[in-house]
Amino acid sequence: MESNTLFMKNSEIFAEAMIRCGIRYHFAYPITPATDVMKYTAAHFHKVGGRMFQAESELAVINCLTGLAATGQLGCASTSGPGFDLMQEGIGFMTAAELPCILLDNMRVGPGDGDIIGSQQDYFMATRGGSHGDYYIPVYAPASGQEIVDLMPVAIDRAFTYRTPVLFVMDGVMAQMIETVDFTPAKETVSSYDTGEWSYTGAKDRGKRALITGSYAHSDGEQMVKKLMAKAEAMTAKEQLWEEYELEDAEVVVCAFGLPGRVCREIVQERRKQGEKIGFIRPITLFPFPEKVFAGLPGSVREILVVEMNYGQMVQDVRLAVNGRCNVSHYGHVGGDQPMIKAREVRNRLAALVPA
Amino acid sequence: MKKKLVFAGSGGQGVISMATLTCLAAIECKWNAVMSQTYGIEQRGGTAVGFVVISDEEIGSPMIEEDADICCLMHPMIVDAHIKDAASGGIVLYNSSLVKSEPVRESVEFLSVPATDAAQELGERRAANMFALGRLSAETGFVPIEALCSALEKMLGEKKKHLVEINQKALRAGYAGGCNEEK
Repeated sequence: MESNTLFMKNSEIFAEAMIRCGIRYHFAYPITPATDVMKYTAAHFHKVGGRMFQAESELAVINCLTGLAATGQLGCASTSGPGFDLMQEGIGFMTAAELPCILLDNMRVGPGDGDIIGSQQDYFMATRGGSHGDYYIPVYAPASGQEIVDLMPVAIDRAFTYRTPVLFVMDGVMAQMIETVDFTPAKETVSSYDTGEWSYTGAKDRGKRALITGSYAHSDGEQMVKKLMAKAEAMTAKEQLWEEYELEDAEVVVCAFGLPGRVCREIVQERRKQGEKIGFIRPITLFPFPEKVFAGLPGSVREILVVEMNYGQMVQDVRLAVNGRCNVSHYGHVGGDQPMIKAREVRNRLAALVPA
Repeated sequence: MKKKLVFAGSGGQGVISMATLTCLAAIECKWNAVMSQTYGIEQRGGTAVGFVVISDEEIGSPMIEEDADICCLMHPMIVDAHIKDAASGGIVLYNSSLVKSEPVRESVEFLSVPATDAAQELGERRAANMFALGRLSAETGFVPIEALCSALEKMLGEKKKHLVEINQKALRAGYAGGCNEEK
């Protein structure tokens, strides 16, 4: 496509951003609300010399991706909650084997098969690792199509730099929303990373043997976990991203990620105009959680309202980040004909916290 | 400038096309657009609703919560469910060819447009959606008619190029009043 400003579904924006940034391999199995990604890559990847491969299940998807990553190529797998469950073993393996990849979870209502409408119920699974063992992977929660495009080169860089799977999460409402997007920031970067040092490139002219494994014996295992923890520490120090608004003198702060973040920002802006001392934080990285912005909150803050399309997940990270310095409450739910949290509900909740 | 619009109808009437075209026309004007939609699992029939927010600034909430500036009701089956989407003081266009009596709702301005009949007279009943959109442009200026006409070519693309003429004709006819309207 030639034009840079387009009008597309956010799932398609994700796919187009991958193409423009140089990702050429996508593995997937159909699942609402993530199928639009593979529909798009099936139609467009082959035009740029890439491939979309529909495997027979999500187990196969993640193992295809593992095989690809072992050859030093950056690939992607997209899915929704039930499929993401099935991929966890593979994601744990890839993390232990230090294999970079891009993952997308378009969150829907769970647990179980749940419902196909959007939610933000995969926060725990995304940030705590759905697989066993001590590990963390970078998690990006864009709030708009534009932010998907802006974050794609960042995610690719972190995948190669830390040699780790990198996860994007969107709620299903945002995934299916259509909006204006400018693709200018999506530059081809994948080819600029050299993976020859560690990947399987065949025996020809081979200097040394690459060893990729997720199995370790005793002291090796301890070293591996320490290495993963050192990566997590480095990410926590360097990779926190968030959006903030009017925190300087805030008494109440509204905190939300993804699409509800957009809804809340608009409400906060509107209440500020009426002179209420309300601020706003939208975590963009869920791991590392943006603790820094919470550490820097002024003493004027007495309450943080966390709004999520779930029954209270990110709120736990907010509580850890403020460590009892102020009250933290939660507002959220899932389901319904219109799964998104309505501005009216948040306004009502705020009215109770900030008496006029 | 920020406008919220709802386009509701029966599946197959082209209400999602109305929403899409509105967004594309807004983009022609260098505005931002956000669209979400709901529809039944049926290919024809069932309900279809397109929710649109257009703005010359960054768009925050994509939600329409009984605050639509314009609500377009193309079929009687969705009138009850979606007339409440209009903001107080908003404009409600209804397709009077199918919605036989004026819907009941306080503090909105009604626009009765016999879109299906008018499109039939133009020779293509299915262009009722475009007729209504043209009329809406004339009455509210939500997007300029020229932006709609040029966005239409982009929306239909090479594959559906043969449909541009009749749809543009319907847009312009709607814009010009198109028929002898009784209010």
